[in-house]
Amino acid sequence: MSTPADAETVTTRTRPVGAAIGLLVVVGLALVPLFVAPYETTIIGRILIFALLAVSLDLLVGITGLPSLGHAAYFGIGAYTAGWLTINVTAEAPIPLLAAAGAGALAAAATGWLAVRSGGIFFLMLTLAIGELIFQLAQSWESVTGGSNGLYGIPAVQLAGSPLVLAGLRYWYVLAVFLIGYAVLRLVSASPFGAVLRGIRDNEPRMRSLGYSPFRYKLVAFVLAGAVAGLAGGLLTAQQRLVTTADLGFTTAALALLAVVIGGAGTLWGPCLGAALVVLIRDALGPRLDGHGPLVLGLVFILTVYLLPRGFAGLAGLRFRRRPAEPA
Amino acid sequence: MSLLEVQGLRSGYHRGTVLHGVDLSLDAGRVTGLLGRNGVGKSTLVGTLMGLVRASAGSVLLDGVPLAGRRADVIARAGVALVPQGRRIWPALTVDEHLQLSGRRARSSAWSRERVLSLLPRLAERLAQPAGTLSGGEQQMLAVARALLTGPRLILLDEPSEGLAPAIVEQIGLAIGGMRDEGMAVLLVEQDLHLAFAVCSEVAVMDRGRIVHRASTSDFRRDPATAYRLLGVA
Repeated sequence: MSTPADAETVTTRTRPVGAAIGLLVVVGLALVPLFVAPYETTIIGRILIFALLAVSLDLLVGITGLPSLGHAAYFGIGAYTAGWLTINVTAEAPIPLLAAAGAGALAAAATGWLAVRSGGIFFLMLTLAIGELIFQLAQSWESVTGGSNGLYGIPAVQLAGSPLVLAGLRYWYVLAVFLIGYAVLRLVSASPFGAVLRGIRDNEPRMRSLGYSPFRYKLVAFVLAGAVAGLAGGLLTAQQRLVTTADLGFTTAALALLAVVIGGAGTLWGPCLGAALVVLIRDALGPRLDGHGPLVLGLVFILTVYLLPRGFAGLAGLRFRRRPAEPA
Repeated sequence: MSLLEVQGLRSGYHRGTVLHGVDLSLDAGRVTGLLGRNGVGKSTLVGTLMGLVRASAGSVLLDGVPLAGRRADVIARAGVALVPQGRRIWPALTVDEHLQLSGRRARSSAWSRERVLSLLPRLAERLAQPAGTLSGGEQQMLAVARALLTGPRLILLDEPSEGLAPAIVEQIGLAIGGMRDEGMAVLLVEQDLHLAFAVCSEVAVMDRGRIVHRASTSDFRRDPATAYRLLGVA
């Protein structure tokens, strides 16, 4: 049986180990274009984009306790905003990205104002409805979104006037923005604001009893998650230079949620692993599996739920401090 | 005028009404014991005063300010704090994080972090420890500390001695004495009559959703027939 002293030792030991592993991963990711072929580099870039979407969803699901089925809407809104801006105004970074994040935040503020008043299954259903509504809007607003054909012919993003045409350069751009987005969410999670969100997740009435208004905190978390999802959408536009309604549809939202659950909700880094698995199975293995990629994903999900209820992150044993097995 | 004035308070859950018109007044600097058999509505009354259970009728005035039907966060900011039954701490947060969370929305009061830690020194030794790994007594102290750090004028304690060793109960009693000396009104829901009689200056007894008896602690102790009729103990 673990004692309090053990718990403290585990926490203090794992912090530097975790930081060292994180640093190694970042260095490894930065070296990818030097050692990996352009196609695989693009796949890894796609993983990073999807990981940023999953991490933003984890802020809602794992840290605030708001499981959303409509989060892809803000991802898609960011993607369309960046795409439209790049075609019609400027391709100069970081303007399309900032606009994408802003559009994601605005859309999240408008819809979250209603959604975060509910909880549990009602929140899930409301976000699903919001996601479908925005999907239908994207389908029908052809003059802006291109309808079912999508938004195509998007110019390459430019950095100081130079278009990022090479796969390696685009990848580094994606990696840099991913790291910024991840760091922001990490800081938020570790801040006093993050502690309030976890308090709301675990016991909302108790937070009320301490004088907190959960609505305001949940709305801020929802808007922040929408902004980072929009940022990820902007990155998607920069990488694939095409946006379709599939990017903001239910499938994308469900896959993001799957990545969070498989990776380990509430850890932020766990959903990155989940996102890697989802993208690898869907994009890299899928074509070789005769279109049975979703079936494999479903099996992985079932196995994870049964064998690793805390996702891959649970394997590392680092989550003790944030969510012990048994509530007191 | 009393700090808290409750008149005709009714509330309950979707299954039915639990409080059928509670009248109660609490004074600053006094500890009132709320006694009664299981299921008579003590925790529902505490939850309703805190805004966690919706009041359907009646009035609650804290220093003249109406609180009935207000949200719990509004009531907390008005100066009411709750130490809930079962502690309800956050197992994953450290003691220090609990204290920070509690103090951030606090009203200005004499209960600084240092003051609370001097009253409950065991917590000072456990600041970096996740609350889920504390002993039951330490968790109860943390629940008390969390409530005090909000700077309350009225504190509601729902069975704070439940499941604790006598030495810890004694410390809880000392802490309640400290709250009283600070001029707070204390409503103590308690099954442990030893603790209730030791710290309360008066008792209110509930039965079937109403306050049916009120007396000073000394008078109540001299009246075993009433105690037996209302509580089943002599």
